[in-house]
Amino acid sequence: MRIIGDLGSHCLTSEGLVEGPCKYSHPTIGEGGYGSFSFLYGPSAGGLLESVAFDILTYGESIEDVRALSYKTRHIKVGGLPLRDVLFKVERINVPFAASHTIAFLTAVENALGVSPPEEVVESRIAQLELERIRNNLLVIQRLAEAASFLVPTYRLLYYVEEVNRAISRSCGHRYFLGANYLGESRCQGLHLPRIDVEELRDLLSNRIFIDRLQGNGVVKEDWAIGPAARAAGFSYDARLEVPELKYRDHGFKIVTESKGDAFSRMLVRLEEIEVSLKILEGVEVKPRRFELPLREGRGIGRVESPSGDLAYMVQVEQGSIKELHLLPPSRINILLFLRSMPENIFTDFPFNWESFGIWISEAEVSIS
Amino acid sequence: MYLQIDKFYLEIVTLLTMITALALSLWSARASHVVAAISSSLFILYGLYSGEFRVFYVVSGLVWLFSSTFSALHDRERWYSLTFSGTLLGIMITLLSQNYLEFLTGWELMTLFAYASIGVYRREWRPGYTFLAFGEVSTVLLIAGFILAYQETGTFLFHTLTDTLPLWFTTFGFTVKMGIFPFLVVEWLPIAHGNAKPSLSSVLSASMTLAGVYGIYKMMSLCPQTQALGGVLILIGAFSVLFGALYSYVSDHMKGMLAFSTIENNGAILTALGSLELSADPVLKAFAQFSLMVYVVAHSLAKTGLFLVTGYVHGESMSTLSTERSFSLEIGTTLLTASMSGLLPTVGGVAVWSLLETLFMESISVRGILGLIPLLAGVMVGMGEGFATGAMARFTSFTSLVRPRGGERGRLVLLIGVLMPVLALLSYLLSPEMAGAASLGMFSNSLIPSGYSGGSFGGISPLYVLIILPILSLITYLASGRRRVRTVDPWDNGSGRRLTYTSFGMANNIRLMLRFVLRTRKGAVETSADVFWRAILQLVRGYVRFSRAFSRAYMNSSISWYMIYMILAFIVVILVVFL
Repeated sequence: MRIIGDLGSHCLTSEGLVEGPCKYSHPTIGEGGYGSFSFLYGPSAGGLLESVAFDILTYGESIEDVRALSYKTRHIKVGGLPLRDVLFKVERINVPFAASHTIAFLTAVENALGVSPPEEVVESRIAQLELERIRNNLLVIQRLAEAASFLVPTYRLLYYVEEVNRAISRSCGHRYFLGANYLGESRCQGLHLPRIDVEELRDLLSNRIFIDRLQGNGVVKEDWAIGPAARAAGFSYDARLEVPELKYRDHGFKIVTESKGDAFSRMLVRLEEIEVSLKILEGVEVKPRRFELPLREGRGIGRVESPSGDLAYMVQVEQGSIKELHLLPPSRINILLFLRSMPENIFTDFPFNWESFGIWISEAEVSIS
Repeated sequence: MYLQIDKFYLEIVTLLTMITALALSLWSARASHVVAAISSSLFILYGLYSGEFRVFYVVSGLVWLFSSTFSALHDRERWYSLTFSGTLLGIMITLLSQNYLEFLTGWELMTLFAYASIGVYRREWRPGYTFLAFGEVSTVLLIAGFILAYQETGTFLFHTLTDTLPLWFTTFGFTVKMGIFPFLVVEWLPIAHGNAKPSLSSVLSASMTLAGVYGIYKMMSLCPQTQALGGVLILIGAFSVLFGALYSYVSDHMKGMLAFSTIENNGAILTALGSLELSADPVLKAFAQFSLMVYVVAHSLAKTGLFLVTGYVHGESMSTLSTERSFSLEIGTTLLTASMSGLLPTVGGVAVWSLLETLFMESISVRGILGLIPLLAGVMVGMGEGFATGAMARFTSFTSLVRPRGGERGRLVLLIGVLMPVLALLSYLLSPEMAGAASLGMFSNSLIPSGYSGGSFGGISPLYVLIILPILSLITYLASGRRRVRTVDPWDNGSGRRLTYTSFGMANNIRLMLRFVLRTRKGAVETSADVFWRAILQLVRGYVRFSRAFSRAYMNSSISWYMIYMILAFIVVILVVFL
């Protein structure tokens, strides 16, 4: 059994819910001695995509401790709203992960109502999740290349991101899957595979300067890690093999792992997972399909493997409306992992380590009531 | 003859004036400092009449004059004026001595008064004891050297010697006083200097260590040339430059970092002395002598000024000190640190240039394996100067440039600072040769050339730089007009917390990169430890353990074992003396 994260007042594990909150090993907060001082990075600083700030305890150059400061808190009220309205909000919590959020939410609703979606819907959802993973992994690697000021690889990677966006748009009508999934319905039609030369991406690995910025940077090997961060540390954790609703095993899916647990291992995992996802997509058929959702009461959990790890929703449905909704976004766990991995590194390591986790502040700082 | 008589009386009057300053200290501190300043002025005058050792006398006199003036303006404690003038008197006797006994008397007087001053200032005797302990180690070595010299000549007067052994002994004795020794590089001197008043720190750093240089130089003039000692001194000196500058760079104690910088400077001076001893080429020797003298001038005066800067600062930690910035301090400190960083057109620039030129010329002209020594030393000195520049930039920034403006203090510092470019021009007077390079705009005799018997090597023109800099500034000013300055608070990401970078943070990159050598520890006041100091401590602890075990085993109140021990010790001493 592995810990996945706090979901409401419970702790979600690979075996299901247990009494929460989850028990993490608490890090030692660094006490600043003589010569230490605070250095504030963000919220208005180059290198950060979203509004976030870090209070860094340092003696100069080295990082002793890091605290994340919140600048993007959002409260979303869903209590009593009809399911379709909540879906609309869930879809927009973190648009780069829109497919993961909506599919996890819809799975939770379907589990609450005791419904199993038809095969075509499952296949469509797998295709969406893998396309989203490819795009996000490309984006993470692009951000790493940009942090190293490698402009040619940066623009090549952005070109591939655009390729994936166009493929998604042709398949599902929107570059970020908005409107692609609905209650009792999957709307994507036909699968357009993006043309990505994985060998070209691997060329990055032949650059020693680039590798030096990543190797040994941000080592974290916590057994409660999730997603690429866990797999980079040698843990074979992946919701795709743990969750029965999405039948990944039927598509010959294999987990990619590395052992060092550093930023380089996380990048390697993401790079190899692009190829794995492309292979999965080759065996998937995408067709639109509707199915009936009964008007029942119930409680259910939906979990998917988002590009950055486990993403889960827990819903309580009553009369076609939401009575209770809880979210476990992967970025919340990844921030904890990031903060834990940062001490003992130096300032110049910061952007590489930060980008290697693929964190989205928009989903980490959302609160649903 | 008339000049000789005059000089003799001048020496007597100078000494008597300093003794008067010592006596007056029992009545009035200010009167004592004023009289000490008068005595220092007389000593400068005396120095101007002196021959070979003129530079040592004049520079020492200037250091004392500035320090006494500073003390007269700022210090009121009688105990301090007593120990201060006593220290000056001790150094004066050392410099004026005509024989080994006078020299040792002055040396001990200087050591004891400085020890008392360090101890009384803080009411903490550990730094004073440290100072005294190393001072006495130095004295023991000097006595050994002087006895050997006496054995050869049969007199305590300074006579020419044929044996080099007195030179070896005394040189190591003097280097201990300068904070330099093969197995003890950088620790005792900062402990002592960091715990003294600013004006005494400047005397200890600039003048007392200069007495050590004077001692080596004097003994070199009496003993035959020994290339082996030259090579050893070059290596020890260059090693001290590198490590002194490194520890200065990472030290966050304001006076401690200046004291480490003193070790770096003393190392450079020792390297110049070694170069003088290594080379047999008369042209190169003359240039090495020039390098030595310019370094003595540059280090002594700049360090005096910088220690006086610390008198205007509240607190000792570079990261937490508070002070006000004034025009005088700003310009003075910048010029002083520029000189200490080896930048032109200051005298420090000429000093660093000439030392490196000397070393690299020697690496070409000295044959065989010995030629590698100056080459290696040149590399170490070059690296050390890099660290020194970083340390000095940090010192200027955090004691003056980034502080709020207020008041008009530090005119004395400004005066010493202005001396730096002036002395760069006066360095022409010390140069063995002058030349011109009209095609480069350096007209007749405005170039100080470096060369050896095998040919010319390089050249430098402080005058050219001094003229070109204002001209270029004027052109920039005329082209771009009056500068428009907008003062803003440091950007702290809009947090309004007024976060700023610290002096400690500025040096932390080296603490981390060289953590193996520096033994960097986090979260403690002492973040870097000196590996050499640790080695000495371990050696001492080992010796104490051995002594204890030995005494328990063989000197346990058994008279027979004690007799055996005494006989053996006697035989060993006889053998050592005989050999």
